[in-house]
Amino acid sequence: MKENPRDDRSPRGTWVLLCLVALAMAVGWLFLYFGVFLPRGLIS
Amino acid sequence: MSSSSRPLHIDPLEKKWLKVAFALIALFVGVILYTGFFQHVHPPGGMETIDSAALHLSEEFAEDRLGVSVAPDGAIKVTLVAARYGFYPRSIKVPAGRPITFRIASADVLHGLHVPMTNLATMVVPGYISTVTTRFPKPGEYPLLCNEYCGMGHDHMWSQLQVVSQEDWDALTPSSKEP
Repeated sequence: MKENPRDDRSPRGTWVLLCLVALAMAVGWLFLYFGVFLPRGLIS
Repeated sequence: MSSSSRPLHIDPLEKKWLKVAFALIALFVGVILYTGFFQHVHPPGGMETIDSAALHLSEEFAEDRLGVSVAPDGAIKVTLVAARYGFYPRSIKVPAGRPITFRIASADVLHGLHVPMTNLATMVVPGYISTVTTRFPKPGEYPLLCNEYCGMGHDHMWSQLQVVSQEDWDALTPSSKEP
């Protein structure tokens, strides 16, 4: 039986989920670092 | 063929998730390193030692030397002693927006200094002087708490930190800057 070449590709929904999770993670972390941590006063 | 000699199979989709995860880690570490090197954000360093049992005899931590002091160049230093169960002096006043160096020594056991809603937090280890420099962006009243369990009265161990605006700070007479 011949394999469908589309089977090797990631489903589009998975890519959307991956991008959403990565974006949320990056935005959340950058907000906490630059929006909360640094404005509270640099430490040295 | 034993399972240990079998080549590791990683699903292509898993590889993509791994790449994204590593890219995020690289981004976070890169940001931390950038601010660490270029904005000098780093954990307090230094290993100054002191005899905890003789703080009252030391030049810096004698009772009449504690509190806020302003050097001729304008640098502000806060000298504190942490002892069961309080930070002494019990109330200090500092200006907002200016670098302030805290120097703290413990007179007895392990303590922790923490000012909620700010980045000021350090351990106060007996025998060592903890030095932290920070600035408080917003005026207000903050509690100065112990966050290392130090005994039965640990939950009562707190003092008051008052951050005032630069105008209020300038209006204070030199004698009232001392708590």
